[in-house]
Amino acid sequence: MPLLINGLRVEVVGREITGRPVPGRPRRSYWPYLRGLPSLALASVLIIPIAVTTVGAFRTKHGVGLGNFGVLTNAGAGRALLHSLIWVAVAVALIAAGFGIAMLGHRVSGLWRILQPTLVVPFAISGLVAGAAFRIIFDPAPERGTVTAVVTAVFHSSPVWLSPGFIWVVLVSAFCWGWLGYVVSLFRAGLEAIPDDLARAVKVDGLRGWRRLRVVELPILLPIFGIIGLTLVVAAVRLFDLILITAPGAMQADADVLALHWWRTTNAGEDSGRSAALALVLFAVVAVLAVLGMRGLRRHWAMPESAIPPSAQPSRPLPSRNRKVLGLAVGVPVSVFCAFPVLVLLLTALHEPAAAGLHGWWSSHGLGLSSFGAAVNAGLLRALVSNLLIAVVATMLVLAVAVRTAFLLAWGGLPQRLTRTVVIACVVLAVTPVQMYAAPLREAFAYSGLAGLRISLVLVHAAAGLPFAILLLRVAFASAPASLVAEALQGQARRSAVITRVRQTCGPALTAVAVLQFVLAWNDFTVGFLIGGPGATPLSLVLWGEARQFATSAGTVAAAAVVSSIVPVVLLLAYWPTVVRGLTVGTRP
Amino acid sequence: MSRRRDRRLGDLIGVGAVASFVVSGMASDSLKEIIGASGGGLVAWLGVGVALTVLWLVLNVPRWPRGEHRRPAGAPTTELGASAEQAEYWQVALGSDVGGMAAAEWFDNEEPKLRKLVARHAADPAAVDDVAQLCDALEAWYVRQRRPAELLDLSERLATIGDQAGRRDLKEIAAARAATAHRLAGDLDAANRELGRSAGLAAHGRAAAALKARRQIEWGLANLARADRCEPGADFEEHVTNARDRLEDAAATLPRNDLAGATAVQLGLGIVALYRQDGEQALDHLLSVAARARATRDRSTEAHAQELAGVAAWSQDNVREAVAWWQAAERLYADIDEREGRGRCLQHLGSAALANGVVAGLLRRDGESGQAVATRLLKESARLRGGAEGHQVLQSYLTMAQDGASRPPPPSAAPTPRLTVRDLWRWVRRALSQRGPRPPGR
Repeated sequence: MPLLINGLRVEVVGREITGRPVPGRPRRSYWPYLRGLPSLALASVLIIPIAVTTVGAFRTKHGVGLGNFGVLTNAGAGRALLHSLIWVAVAVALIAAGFGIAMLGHRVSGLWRILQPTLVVPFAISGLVAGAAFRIIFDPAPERGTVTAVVTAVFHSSPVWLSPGFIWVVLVSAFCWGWLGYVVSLFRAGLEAIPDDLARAVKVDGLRGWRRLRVVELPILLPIFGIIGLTLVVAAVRLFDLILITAPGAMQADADVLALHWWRTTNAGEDSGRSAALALVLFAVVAVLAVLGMRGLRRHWAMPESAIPPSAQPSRPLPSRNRKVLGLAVGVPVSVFCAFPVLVLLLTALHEPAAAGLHGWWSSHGLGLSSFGAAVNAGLLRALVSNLLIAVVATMLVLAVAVRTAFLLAWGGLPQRLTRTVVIACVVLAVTPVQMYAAPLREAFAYSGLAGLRISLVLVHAAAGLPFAILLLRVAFASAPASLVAEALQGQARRSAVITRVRQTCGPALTAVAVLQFVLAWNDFTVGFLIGGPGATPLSLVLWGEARQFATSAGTVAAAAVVSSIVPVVLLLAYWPTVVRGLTVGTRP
Repeated sequence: MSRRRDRRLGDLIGVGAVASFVVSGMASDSLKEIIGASGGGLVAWLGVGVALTVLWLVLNVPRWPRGEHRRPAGAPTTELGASAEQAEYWQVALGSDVGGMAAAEWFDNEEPKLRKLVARHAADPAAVDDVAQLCDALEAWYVRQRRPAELLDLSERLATIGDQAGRRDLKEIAAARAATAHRLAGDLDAANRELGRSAGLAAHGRAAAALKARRQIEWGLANLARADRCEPGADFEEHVTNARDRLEDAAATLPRNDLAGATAVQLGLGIVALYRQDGEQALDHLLSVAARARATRDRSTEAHAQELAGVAAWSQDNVREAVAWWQAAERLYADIDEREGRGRCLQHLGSAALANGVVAGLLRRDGESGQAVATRLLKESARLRGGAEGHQVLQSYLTMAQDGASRPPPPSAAPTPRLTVRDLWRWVRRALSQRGPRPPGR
């Protein structure tokens, strides 16, 4: 069969089956589809309400039309949309800054040892806690707010940080603080994965500076740029809890974003169709960004084991002295920036509630543990137990369902087109804002008597975490050495045995999914706030309840924030290297 | 449900039947009291026993027809029986890394004798199973060697044997093999006729699914052969689409444990992707085949997949990788003495050296010119394939190489391979875009 390919006539020969026919029946073609049913059932907790919201957005009093989208002409909505776009720009800037820090810290292992814990801690802390910490730091009273006190001491006066315009400084600082560690850690993992032989070849070839960045680092890190970009931009557009707690009530209009505006219009008794239209716009923005970001997530099957040449030189080129100094000059301030808000929270919590309301964290007046007592009285312990139950059960449910579906997508023999469609659907579902399904779900739970029960929150958390878990695990499964899976399949082993074998190489991804799902469910505020009820009492709702009288309850809020952060911080610190490996699996060349 | 599970279920039901009879017929009064069975209850137990016995019989029936075709246990008593067993043994080894070379040597030496045995016992209905076994082994050898005339002759003999013995299944296989022979000989209409005949003979036996899948694969390959005869355009696309559909049907029809069938289908889908100039998708299929073949120590299939991976790499303009894949495949073919495959790989390398100076530079020995490299490789290919005649592509490239061999190579034809910024950039891009297609040993 001569075939003309790239100017060459190639003789391509097919393969015939020879010998005696093998007796047996064909495999059941519907079986793989049945194995995807649990995922579909769980995902329908999101899919059905999303469909309801979408239909609602187009249903007007006069029939079907675009009338509800008139809500966008409202000045408030326009401003919220603009602010959301500004947040996207902030996310992009943060990615650039994170990349710069990772590049500077790259190969300075001592610096990384200092940076790692301080970078991880903010990522483990919820938006609500971050908002509380930055609200304390930027308190307008110089006797309480650190920044105000420092600026006043230097310039004899200070702007009111929690005022129109300046509130953005506080919000952006809090957002960057929360996400910087994630960005730097993932970039660093990508940089570490650059093959040593390539690093040496590049050095020998004399490639430096921008050319080296363009030829080597940027292309290699492209998939990681995709993951980070997707996560951060979507987080920026979905921003809700951080603004809600950081911006005082009067300032919230100045910091309004789409997600918050939706909540405000819903609460204000706005027509449900108009709220649905607003949610749909938010969803469309996020979905478009996600599908664009998918280019970075489009990863391919890993190299077969035997094709990976062993690295002859275990070590890579050492950094120059200038590079070390520069790394330290940037790394130490970054480290301080990351650690400082945690310190502020801790020290504020160690003051009595009255003292915390009157004095700053540095004051020696009113030291004591009574803020923790006040937090316990506010229902902290019950909320802790509730959070633990919700997070553990949701994580287990996600793992149980996602592992099988991810395996099915990676190795299950589904048609390629179907696999691609499911992957795109997962990406879109993974980034869907809560606002898109909150209202119909709240109604459904109220109707079925599940409102306020933990089971409803477990279901929503599991359904919301499932798409991301499937995406991550699918890449991990597909990255498992093909020969390993083939061997298991050829051995006519049961599927469960195959899964067990594959799982051996996918440990980091499984750990990453479990840890991240747990931390997300634990730190959640938005789902609990918009869908759950007082009966479920997640931790963040208790924190939110206290934060509403921030000026008088700063100590209680700080104590509750510290206690609520212990579990996710410990978990992430313990598993961070594995989580990063799991997140970047399949991106290594 | 598998044969073993059928049998296990049947045995359980048999035990149940016996238990029911025990309960109904021989149980003491006290036992009746314990199980609460009255007179009516006993009748019910008896009914259950009868039903279970019938079920046990039904589930165990498939064992007996199978036994009819099986030679009695123990050493074969005739020369035919011994040769059939030996042929089956070497057929399994053919192409594998366990005795693949020895198997090729055995077939090379024994093939005339095996053919004589088939001819001698063709009219003997008592020897039909042994002759069929010999035909199976010879078919594998002829297909591997690409000898359509011998394969056609063999299929005709098998059809005659099947006719005389009243074995419809043998006639069905024979027609499918005849189709392969016709396709290899280039007679696609005859191939289609034979496939139709085979489908008409199809029965509902235990191997029905495998035979149906074999016909689908053959139809797919015939469609690809038809595509070769068309200029790029609607007809070409139609044939390639038909080929893909046939292969996908085959994948859905194959028995669960037909590993050779599964790899053949996936390899075929890889070729379809190559016809569509989709190197990336081709590699997805081919690397999976290579991994499966490696796991089952099937060197022949692994080499075939690597050979095609080279074509896929070439289609992606990855010249160095294409060369590495072809060299790796050539080594594997050499390990099992598969000369036809080895010859094809050398042909790919030789023609690529003629078309691309970088390839010539990679394959050059002692300051050879590009044409000299190509001529050397193509001549070796022709030697392994029993001459260039009958191999249109080889013939044309060999002529081209020999005509130009006396001319000095153009200065850019054979650059010294060294790492450049451009190479690095492409290496990085490839590392990102093609995670899998890294040829072994690089």
